[in-house]
Amino acid sequence: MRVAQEFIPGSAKVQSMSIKNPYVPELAVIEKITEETWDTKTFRAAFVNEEFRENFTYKPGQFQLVSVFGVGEATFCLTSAPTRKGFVEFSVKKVGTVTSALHELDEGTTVGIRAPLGNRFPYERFKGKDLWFIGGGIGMAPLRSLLNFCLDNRRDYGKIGIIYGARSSADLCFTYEYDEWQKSPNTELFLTIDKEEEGWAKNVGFVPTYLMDLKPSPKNAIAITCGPAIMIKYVLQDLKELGFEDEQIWTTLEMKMKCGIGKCGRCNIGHIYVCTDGPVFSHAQLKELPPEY
Amino acid sequence: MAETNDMEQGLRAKAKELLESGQVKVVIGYEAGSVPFKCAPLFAETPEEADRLVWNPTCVNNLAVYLPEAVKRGKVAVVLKPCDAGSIVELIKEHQIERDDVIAIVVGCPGVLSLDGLSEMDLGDIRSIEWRGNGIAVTTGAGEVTIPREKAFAGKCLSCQTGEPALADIKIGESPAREPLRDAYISLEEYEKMSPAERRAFWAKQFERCIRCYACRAVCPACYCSECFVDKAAQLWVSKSTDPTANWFFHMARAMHLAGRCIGCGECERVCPVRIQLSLLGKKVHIDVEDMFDYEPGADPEALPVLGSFEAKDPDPCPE
Amino acid sequence: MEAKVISKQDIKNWLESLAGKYEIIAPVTEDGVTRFRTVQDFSAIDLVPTPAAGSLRAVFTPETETLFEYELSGHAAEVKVSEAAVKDRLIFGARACDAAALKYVDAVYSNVEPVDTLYFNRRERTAIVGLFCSNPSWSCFCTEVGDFLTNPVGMDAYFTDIGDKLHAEALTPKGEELLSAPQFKPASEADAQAVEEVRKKALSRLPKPTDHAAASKSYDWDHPIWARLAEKCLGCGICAYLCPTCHCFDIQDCAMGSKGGRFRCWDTCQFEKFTLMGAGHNPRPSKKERTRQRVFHKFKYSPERYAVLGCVGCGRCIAACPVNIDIRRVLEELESQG
Repeated sequence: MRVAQEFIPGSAKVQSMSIKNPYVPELAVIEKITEETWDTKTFRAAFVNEEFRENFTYKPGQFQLVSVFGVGEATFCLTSAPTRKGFVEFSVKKVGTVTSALHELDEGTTVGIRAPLGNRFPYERFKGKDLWFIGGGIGMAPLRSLLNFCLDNRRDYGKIGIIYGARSSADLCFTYEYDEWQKSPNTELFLTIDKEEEGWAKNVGFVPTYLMDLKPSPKNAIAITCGPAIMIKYVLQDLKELGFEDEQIWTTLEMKMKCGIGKCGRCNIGHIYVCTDGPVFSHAQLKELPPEY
Repeated sequence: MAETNDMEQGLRAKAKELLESGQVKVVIGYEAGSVPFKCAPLFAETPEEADRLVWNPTCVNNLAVYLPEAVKRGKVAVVLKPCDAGSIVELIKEHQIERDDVIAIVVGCPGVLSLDGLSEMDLGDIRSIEWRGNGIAVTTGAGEVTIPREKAFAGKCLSCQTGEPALADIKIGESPAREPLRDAYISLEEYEKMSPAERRAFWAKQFERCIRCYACRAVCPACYCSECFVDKAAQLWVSKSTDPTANWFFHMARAMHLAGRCIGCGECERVCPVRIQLSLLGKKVHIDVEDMFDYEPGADPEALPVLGSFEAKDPDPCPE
Repeated sequence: MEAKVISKQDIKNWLESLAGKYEIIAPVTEDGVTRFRTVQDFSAIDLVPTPAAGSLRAVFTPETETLFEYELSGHAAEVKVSEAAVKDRLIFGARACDAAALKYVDAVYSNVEPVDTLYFNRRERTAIVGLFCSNPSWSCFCTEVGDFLTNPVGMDAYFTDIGDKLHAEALTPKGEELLSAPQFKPASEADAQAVEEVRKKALSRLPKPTDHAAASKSYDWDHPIWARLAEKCLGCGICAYLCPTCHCFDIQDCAMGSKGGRFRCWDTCQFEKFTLMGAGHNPRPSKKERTRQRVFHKFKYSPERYAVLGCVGCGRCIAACPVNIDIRRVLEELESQG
């Protein structure tokens, strides 16, 4: 866990007006909109400023604040992998004001993006290990960034298992990438849906239950999970039961954000800000924080 | 006053009785504050806690504001000044509480303190405050000072008619009969002399100070909406910014929302950190409602909400 | 630089001599409310209220501040950032608590990059002249949380009222520059003695220091006080809106057809919707969580993150709370044994 910096009086870095106001977004054009499910769309956007676009890099696990001018700004993980350049992607579930406005946009619209923000998955520490991605519903979006990044650097990692579930087959996201994932060597995809469905030949059951059926070994392994709060709760319990240590379990948290840069005070859990000290945390780190998220 | 000491004793005894008998889950009243010139709300659930109830000039709060939430616990007793009882009448009319959910304990009230009346004193030196004669007696390190009611009491107290409260299950003591010192609408007289342009300038200056803390809304028993119009994100009715238009809209819309529902407890003005004359705004709307509909909010538990009902004789200001 | 004095009659022409270079900001009372405003008429300055109802927060982060403007045309968008330069300002009559609060907000707004340039642009262009509190209010408790009343931070010069004149100490090179004006004369032994008297008298009315940061290490997350505070607390937000260390804000858009802008405005963790997420989950669903957040943020999380307490003891929240939630009593209860 990055220790909060000690404030040394007088070291505040004062910048002149020529340095950009950190609340102003970069302009980006929506190039492609993919309908994932009845309430989820994935947007691919490219920065308008060529120099910014060429030089833009980020790490898996980071997030972005997307603006619909006149409506507002909201947080979305960078679901694309940084190994694939020239664009960024964000997946949007329609739940509120900004998400609904995004769903109304067509390809070609200009939006604002402030990125990259937040910390990242410490993928260097995952090298040489087996990785288990455990995702539920749209929780797969942040995991996808790390997953595709690892698949693009396949030799750095051991076996990769992806356990992904949703309410029904119509609620599964990124279906167009499953073939690519499974084609990767030593990589297996385990899909599951909550209830029986005609035409569904794969697993039926909640993600935590399926996890216990599959019994991944904790030996030299890392588990990364994201999904509905209730799913995460049971997945954490199950991983502990399977023998995973707190340092082997990683997740990414969601909180209401506005500034995204640790100033507006909205996303704190105890003394940390999810926007700057997170959103990626290990279970060991979460255990030290107050239970308020 | 010996009588008010009796009222405090009577109040404690009644509260204990209600709690011991299990008639109510909680008695909401006042207790001593962290300093002698303030009190704090008390939620007494046991007879021991009920012993902390006080009744003195610092008891300014309108405790009706807690009722819609408190009645979820079960039956509630609440200590009310006669003026606050009007809030209960409106809450019952609007089905925020059922009549049977609440036991209204109305205490006799000589008048409550306005801290402005103590502005010449060193507040840190005050030891106690009690009713004395027509005003209050303040004990400090240097001795005792009596302050007459014109200076000590809240504006609303000076025009109080001390009639029968609109609603009371239990009465503790009687409010002393006295001549109102001023007309309820004295500040309105001055205001109504102003031309529309002068009024606009007056409110512009008032609202310019507004920091949109929404304390006025939070303290008001009539503002109980689970989602206030200013908090709506989808369909944004008013900007969250403090620019003049947004501030006007907030206050004017709130005044309209309170038309025929505000009973003039003055809490909004008491709590405003920038001293906007909110009770003047409320009074103006109140007098207009009275003129148009011959209706007094908080007075008659049987009457229908004025803007929630209509009668054939209602004024129709549309031009022919 | 040695200490100086300025006669009260000379204050006006001293400020006038600065008015060309600085926008002078000082406490002004209107309709019974004292706030820091830009003043041209120096006789309107009111140095009596201790502290002023309004803090210095609005001077550095206005209640509403435009972040940028935009214009849409078809699918395209253009973003315009204001180029307006910030004028040099001088705050006259700041209290030690408010200046110390600025140091705290400096820590918050610079702790992680990018720093808040809007705030720091104003900060670096504002000189601050403080005034010692000869007459602390019943709600003041700055000495409990720090010693800045007598060892001020965050200001360029510190004045003390010693009767017909103000004693003046420069604390920074900027302060020295200000005090080199002809109206300032060297202070005498008697002047220094008078300052001591004034200091002693004020301190005798103020509480002793308490190490709340250390005590906060063992604050109880499940203390029964939170449920009790939640009963009384109206969630009105006055405490946060008057607080000089509160720094939380909301960001909103304002659209008028194809043009509009984005602004930020003050917000508070005391409001129910502060942490409410789009899909409906709220980590702080009731006043129990929100009152705890306020106390923990100021007294526990701030020392943990910034090594600085998040409260300067100005007492505004105590004076303004409609239901007499007194932070001093809350801390006493949290820190008492058993």
